[in-house]
Amino acid sequence: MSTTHKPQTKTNRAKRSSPLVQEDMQKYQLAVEHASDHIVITDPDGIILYANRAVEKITGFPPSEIMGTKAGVKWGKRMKHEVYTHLWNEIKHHRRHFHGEFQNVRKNGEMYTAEAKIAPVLDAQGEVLYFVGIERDVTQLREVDRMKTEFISLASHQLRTPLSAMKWFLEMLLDGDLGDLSTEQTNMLRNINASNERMIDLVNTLLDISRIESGRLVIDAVPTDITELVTGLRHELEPLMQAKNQTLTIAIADNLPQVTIDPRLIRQVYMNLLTNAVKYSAYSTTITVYVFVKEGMIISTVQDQGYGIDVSEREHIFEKFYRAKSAVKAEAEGSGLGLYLVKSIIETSGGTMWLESEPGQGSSFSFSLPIR
Amino acid sequence: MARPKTILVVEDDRMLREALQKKLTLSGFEVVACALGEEALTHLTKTIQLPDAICLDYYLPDMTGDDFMRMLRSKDVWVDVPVLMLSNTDEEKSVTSTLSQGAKLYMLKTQYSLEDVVTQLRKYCV
Repeated sequence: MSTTHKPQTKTNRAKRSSPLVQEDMQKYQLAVEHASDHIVITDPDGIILYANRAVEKITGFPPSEIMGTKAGVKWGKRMKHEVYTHLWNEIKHHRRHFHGEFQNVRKNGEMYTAEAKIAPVLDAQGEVLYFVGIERDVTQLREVDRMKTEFISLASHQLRTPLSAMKWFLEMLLDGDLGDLSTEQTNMLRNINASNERMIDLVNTLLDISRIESGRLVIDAVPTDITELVTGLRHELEPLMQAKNQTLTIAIADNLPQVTIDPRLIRQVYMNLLTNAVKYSAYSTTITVYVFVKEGMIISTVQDQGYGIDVSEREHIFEKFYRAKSAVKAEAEGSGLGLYLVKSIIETSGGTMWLESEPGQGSSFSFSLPIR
Repeated sequence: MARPKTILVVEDDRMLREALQKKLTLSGFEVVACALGEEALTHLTKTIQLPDAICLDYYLPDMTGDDFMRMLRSKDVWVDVPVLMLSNTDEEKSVTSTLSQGAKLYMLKTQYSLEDVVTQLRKYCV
């Protein structure tokens, strides 16, 4: 039997690919229809053209009640008007993807939290053809988060009582209120005291984090002189830096405007970055703080000549409990909470935070704060 | 010789109460210690000599520092007794409400030493 290879014509290709396309289409359709996330396709005005099964399961509205209506009108509109205006501006006018969280309401009146991702589908000319909205019911997840945050807050407050008892009794012992101590006894009590203070710091950090995560952190913003705030840190850092023979250089631009920030929190940011720089740099190195204005923001950089952070670790460095390998190697102790807290404080204050680093060369942690 | 200044310590945690009592006594104060808010108010009602200052814990088993301050400020004779609030909570609302009711200072126990407490008491016991 002989076989002849016929050249593949356009018609042949179409014939062969057609059932495949149909099969693929069916596959996609089934996948979208049965997805556990709520998926909606609308026209450029937001009118629903398609809603998968999960829409009814999550919102309680059957397709007959929502097809042809504007997306979100039935189950949304429970948040501030500006939230929806911002969403519409992003997807319709800027043609950008939107990612956010909404408080919605089901047909039976029950509130639920939805994480939404909405994307415009554009034609070749860049005009909006459709919007595809995917929403996930995250009510339970957020409830677990809230309970976890509440637990951390409660546990931390409870921990403070025995910690303060230890602090106060140790203070009396070390001050000699109850008689003289031998040098060895004093040294041991100092170690216990230092450990207790570390625990107090950790509890304070956990409490600050739980406040940020639950939105209870009160930003007490007042007009602040950054120059004064930064130069005031030198004295506090001196003992730490002297112990490693390190030098601190502060380079602040002239005529820096006052900024409206919470000085306690921003001071905590500088202190955290500077103590990290001290800890993760070798003896006899220099740490430099730069503060200047750029594009309406105050930019601060803490630059060290330390061990640096590998490129693969940079995206994780601000994550909760994450510690860079170089950090663990240099200093085994550490909670991995400091940079997470610092970034959270900066973002809550309207700024952003970033890192530049070269292993073996050092790191520069920078953050911006709006001038207002 | 001047009479030693008297401090009323209201603290439900036995260890913290003992630590305060010990340090204040060593620093020359006379100390009356109570574990409950009600007990402290009863003492204030019955005593002939009002304390020169009160060290008050914010969270007591029978009332909060706010409740105590409200009751303290409801009697004219008690109005001028200076209060140092000692607490383990630094929630904004407890701090602001206590200070607005006339507490002289709100001190977070883990952040302050006993020596700091003594310094502040000396300042207000004039």
